[in-house]
Amino acid sequence: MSCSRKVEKTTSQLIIGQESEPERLSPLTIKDPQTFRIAWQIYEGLLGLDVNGKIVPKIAESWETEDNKTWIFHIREGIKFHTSEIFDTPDKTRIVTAHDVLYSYTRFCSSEAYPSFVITDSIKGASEYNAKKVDSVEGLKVIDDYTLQIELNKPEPFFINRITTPWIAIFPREAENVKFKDKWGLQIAVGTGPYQLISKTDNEIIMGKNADYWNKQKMPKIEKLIFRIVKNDQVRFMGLTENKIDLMVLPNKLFSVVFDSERRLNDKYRKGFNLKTISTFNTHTIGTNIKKIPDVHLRRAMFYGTNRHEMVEKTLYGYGDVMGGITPPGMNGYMPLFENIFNPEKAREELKLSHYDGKEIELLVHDLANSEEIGQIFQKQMRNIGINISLTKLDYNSNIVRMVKGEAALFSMFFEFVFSSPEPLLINLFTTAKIPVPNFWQYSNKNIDKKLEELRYSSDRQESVAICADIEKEIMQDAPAVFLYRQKYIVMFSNKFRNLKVNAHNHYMFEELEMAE
Amino acid sequence: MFYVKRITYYISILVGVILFSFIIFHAIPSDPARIILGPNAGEQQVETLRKELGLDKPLQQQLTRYVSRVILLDFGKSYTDNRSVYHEVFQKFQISLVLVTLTLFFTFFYTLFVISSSKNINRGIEIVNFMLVSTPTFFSGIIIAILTFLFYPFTSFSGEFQSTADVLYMLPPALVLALYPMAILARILKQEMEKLNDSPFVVCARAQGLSELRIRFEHILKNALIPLLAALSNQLPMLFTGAFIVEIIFSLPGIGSLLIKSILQKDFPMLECIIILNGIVFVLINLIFETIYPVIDRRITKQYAQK
Repeated sequence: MSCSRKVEKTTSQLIIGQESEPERLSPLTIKDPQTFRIAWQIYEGLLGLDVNGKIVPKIAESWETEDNKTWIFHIREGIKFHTSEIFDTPDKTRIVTAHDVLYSYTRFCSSEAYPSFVITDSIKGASEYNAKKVDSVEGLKVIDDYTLQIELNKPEPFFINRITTPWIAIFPREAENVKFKDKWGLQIAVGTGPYQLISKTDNEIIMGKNADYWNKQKMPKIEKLIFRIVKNDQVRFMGLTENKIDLMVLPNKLFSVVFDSERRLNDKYRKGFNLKTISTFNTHTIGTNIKKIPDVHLRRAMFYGTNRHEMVEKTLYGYGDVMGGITPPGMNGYMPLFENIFNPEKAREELKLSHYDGKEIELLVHDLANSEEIGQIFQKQMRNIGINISLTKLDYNSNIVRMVKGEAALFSMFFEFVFSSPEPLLINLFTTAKIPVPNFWQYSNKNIDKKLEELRYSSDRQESVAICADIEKEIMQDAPAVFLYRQKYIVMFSNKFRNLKVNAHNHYMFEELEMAE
Repeated sequence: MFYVKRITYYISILVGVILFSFIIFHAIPSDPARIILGPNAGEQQVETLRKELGLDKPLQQQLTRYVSRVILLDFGKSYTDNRSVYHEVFQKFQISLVLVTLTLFFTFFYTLFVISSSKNINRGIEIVNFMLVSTPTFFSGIIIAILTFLFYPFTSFSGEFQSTADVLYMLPPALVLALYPMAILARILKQEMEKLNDSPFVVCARAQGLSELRIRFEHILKNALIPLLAALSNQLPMLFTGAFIVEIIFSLPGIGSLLIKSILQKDFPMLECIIILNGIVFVLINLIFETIYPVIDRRITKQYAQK
């Protein structure tokens, strides 16, 4: 439940209705998208992504590479960490240097870091560090106070697309000082972002504008952010309509309340509220374990027999983009791969060519992201073309365990990609070396492996992403998974505010939000 | 001797709870290392963590380590974000404790109202009790949450008890949580009191010319308390972890919602601690009530002594 009590409503205060209690605001352990919404106001990475998907400098002012294997990052001079008790200096802050970047990146390579997968495979010596075989990461080197060198295992022209997410954030080494370790992420969170943490409990997170923010052009216009936890969807929505909350992400089940029959904002809300559609790098899919379903014709039958539009209509009220491949629309180099993916005739033809004997195929579904609903629709659609599917519902974690062990023939899955270009995505998900994680489908094709490896040596990015589209199309001929759609998120917010910007990493750039008057 | 026997009995229950909490989470087919590291971590990384957590060791060794840590109140770190389980559970328990205390206040005042009400409104009370018992918590919770939002001035909780407003915020959820025990306990007490109303000792008291109020509260109530307390001792432990629906509707970070969150996230250290805490609460409540019973009715001590 929520309303303004402790903090008086002022003209420059935004109250955000959060769906659940936040995780610990430690960059190493965050994994929940709702906590990202909070944490990414505090933390920043070396690079970022603007709303158009273009890479923008953040803590790194510039970067260079000669061979795509050794990257030099020039750290912006004069950036200060937020003031905090963790700093033993008179002004309770200090300047960010390359040593902080080295420290943060080293920690992100460790086994304690949930997002270690983002960089561990790329940076030289990171895997050994992750496995605790060595004490430092060989590929990370401070050249001087404001220059950091990152050496990779192999050339990667797309390396910077791995680190555009604020997930790989720069934080001070003092954070893990024994004295503050237990408070870190709970009462203390220090970064360089536009807002700094004032207080945090399980019900309320209050942030104030960072007056020392390095980007003077993007100095926050809203003085205070209050993230208030209101778990019940109806109660949260009521808080919004009663002006006790200013902004919330609409859950699917409220679409019928908010939209009219023409899918416009209902008249009664049009006066006081704005809607913002957010398109992130996500995809929802029904994955196939190729070892369990080795028959390519059967897999293709499922691929062509799936009516993705029906799923988007029924589960998302139309707020989704149908996809045939893994690269989401909007990602650098996205090309629509299939003109008409849903083709029941073709599906039946493929089924005839297969050796399918009518046995039930198990599909694992879970409790998140409309998984069960998607499973039911898929089950019905497959029945229409002659394939029998049985659903097994487990919690998300058990689903993952069974999936990784290769026990499930089919599994419902969703990805929120941290990479901002298709190359690392395809390399991660479809190379033989990545079986079973994150190549969950156990897809192995030497020709594809070779082509993906060649991407490392392509210096022309436009050419590289075009090759990616061809590779993806070739992979989809083997139908290792039925890629379904990219979900769009709808944010409803008070019309007292304008200029809400959210990038494809689902990063809410509240520093750009303005009062409407 | 009576108390020694009871305490020994309850300690054996606690040992059982600790063993149960260990066995249940080691019997569930799951991989804590994979849960901690997520779907993207490589098998090598997961294997390394499994070793660090001691999950590769024989079950007996794991049990010994677990029991020795529990005795020292070291429940480890949360699988999801590495926070101290003990501190987290303790913090949430405080919120639940306040919620349950306020629930008891509501229950007490309603029960008092019911037993002191005149016979004329008995039918009305029966209907109200029936409605309170049969209304599901998620429904009454939503209704009261909406009404609170519209008419109650204290509608946000800072997450800690920083001010009186934080305590006042707890009143509506406590009321929702109290609806069921309120009706049940009031009905039990009312029925017991009516049963005792024509007992020889009550007739005797009336014959002595004592006032009806004195008879009611001094003689009848005292004898009707035992069934009430027995019912209350059953209700109380359930209020701690069974409050999750109310906690979710009112966004209260109590033990109930932590329990549900930990189940969904398979955060086993957190679940183990909650189960043990629940066991301790159960034992303490029963011990307290078993201490109270003989004070109210000395025949109970005699019965135990005869046994």
